[in-house]
This record gives sequence, structure tokens and C-alpha cells, in this order.
Amino acid sequence: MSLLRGRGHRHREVVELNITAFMNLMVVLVPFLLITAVFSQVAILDLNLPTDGDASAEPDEPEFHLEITVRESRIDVGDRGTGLLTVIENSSQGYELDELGEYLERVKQRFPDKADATLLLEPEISYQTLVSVMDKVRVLERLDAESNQVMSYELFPEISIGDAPLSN
Amino acid sequence: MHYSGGRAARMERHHKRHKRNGALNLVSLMDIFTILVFFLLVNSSEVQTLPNAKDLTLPESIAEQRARENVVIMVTDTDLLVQGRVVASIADVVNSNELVIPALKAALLNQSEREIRQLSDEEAAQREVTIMGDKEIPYSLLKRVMATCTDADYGNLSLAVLQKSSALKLSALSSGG
Repeated sequence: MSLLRGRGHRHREVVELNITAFMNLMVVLVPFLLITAVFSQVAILDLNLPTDGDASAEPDEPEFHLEITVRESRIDVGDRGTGLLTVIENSSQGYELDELGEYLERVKQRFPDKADATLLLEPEISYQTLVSVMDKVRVLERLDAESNQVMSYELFPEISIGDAPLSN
Repeated sequence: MHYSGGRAARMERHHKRHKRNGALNLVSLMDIFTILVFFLLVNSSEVQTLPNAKDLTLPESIAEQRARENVVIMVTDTDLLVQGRVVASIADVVNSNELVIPALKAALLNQSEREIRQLSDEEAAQREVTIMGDKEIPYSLLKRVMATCTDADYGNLSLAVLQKSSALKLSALSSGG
């Protein structure tokens, strides 16, 4: 035992690195970077509102125009020309957004070229609900079973926003 | 065999041994710091363009588009701010019935006057503004803020949201791992 230690000591007395300066640098750098680090990413949703110039210039062809109306207790999906397509009632947990997504997927299959939709909201709807519904209208997320990855499919990314008509 | 030598010699030996063993072993600490520094350096390369929203909670969304540098309107539950300066209180705004909020419009017009580059009319109508709203604000208030923006010739609105992974993505991660 004493033999081993003695030999080790002889070898070791050369390799004493002075790392104090490096340590100081690290100790300063780590808190600085921790403070400036961004942990919550902020993203944006684009909205294109019509300005005064190009409003109401659309011809009144009988074209399909998707309208999603968010009310206090339900979400109505309809066509501006022909009227209501479906009503999605709230469950006890709130809005049935998954059901809305599935229904919009079927709409997209019938009208593959359609990219715009109108979101109509009642005055008391919260901002979070607006954003959640916009998410569902914009993209559809599907789990690809083979690669186990989530694929995003575009549904109706060009969203305009308006007031909901009074419910009957 | 240890009885040779006096007390002083023994103490000296004792101290010498302690001095050698007393040096801190900093290797693992250094490892952690080195990894942490590189991780944080890589992480902080993305520059945040939007101000920190301390007094409001942004709504969560699966949006992935990055924020751009432009005029920021903040709607907290007490105040309305343009570029960090309070322009009106929410209580006043809710109490008045006009669609356009005059104080906000004045602040926005003031912002566009301060631009150095003079824009043509077409470009001016496409100016951008980012709205950072608390997730609890009602649509009626949001609508009036948006109407004021378009009235002040800010045609391109973006809504700031907090990025989160969808539940589907999380489940894929946990089952895939």
C-alpha cells in the first residue's frame, strides 16, 4: 500500500493544473447565460384584415365560404351561402376542439383548394379560445404510426375574424 | 514502527497529509459547468424580439412562426400599452362605446410618424403590428384593438402566442422514447 502511494505521489506532483481563472470565468458565465436564456418561446399568428380600400369588392357568386361561429355553448360550422353544416355542442370540459378538427378535415377533403375561412366570435369569448380555435382551423396534426412522428397538414390557414351574428 | 520520532514530527506529518488530501476535487463541477455553458450559449443564440410579458399571460398555441420586429401593442387586464408606454386603461376603454379607441389610435399614428423612411400609400397600409394580449381578455376588447389598428393603417396584424407542443406531439415523444 505504501509502495503504491509513494509511486503515485511521485508521478502526480507534476500535474497540478491551476484552474482558478477558468473556474472564475465559468462561475460568471453560467449565471449570466442562465439569466439571458429564453425558456418560453413566443411565436406569432398572422391575421390579414381587410383595410378600407379593398373591402366588399367580392362578387356574389354562390361560392363555398367556410364560416366557424364560436358561441358561449357551442361551435357552429357553416357555409355563408347555404347555411349551417354542423353544430358542435360543448361538453362539460369546454369546447370540443378535437371534434371540430375532425369535421374540418372532412370539409377539406371535399374542398381541397379552399384555404380561407372566417371565424365569427361572440363578444365574451376569451382570447385563449380564439387562439385554440384558430389552431384547429389552421392545421391538422396527425400521428404517423410508422415513423411515430407528428405530421402537420394545412387546413384553412387564411383566417379572417368577425362578429358572430346574434343566435336565434 | 510508528512510535519513532517526537510529537512535533508526528503533527507535521499529519498536517502534510491533510494538506495533500484537502484540495477540492473540482473535476465533476468543471464538467457540469462546461456542458452548461455550451448548452446555454447555443440556446441563447436565438434573439428574442418581443419584450418580456411579465404582467400578462399569453395564450398557448401550436404556431411555429417566429416573431418579427415591429410595433407592439400590449393588452393586459388593467392597461393598454404601445411599445411599453401606457396609453389608456382598460376600464376607460371598456366604458366608452366607440369602436375605435382614440388614445390607441393617436399613439399608433405617433409611432408611424416617427418612422424615418417615408412609405408609399400602399406600403403604409401594410404596416405591421404585433398584439400581445392576456389570454383572458374578451373578444369584444380584442376586436376594438384590431379595429383601431386597421383604422391607423396598420393592416398586418400578428397575434403573439406562447409556443407549446401539442398533446399529440408529447405522446409521440413519450411512446417513442
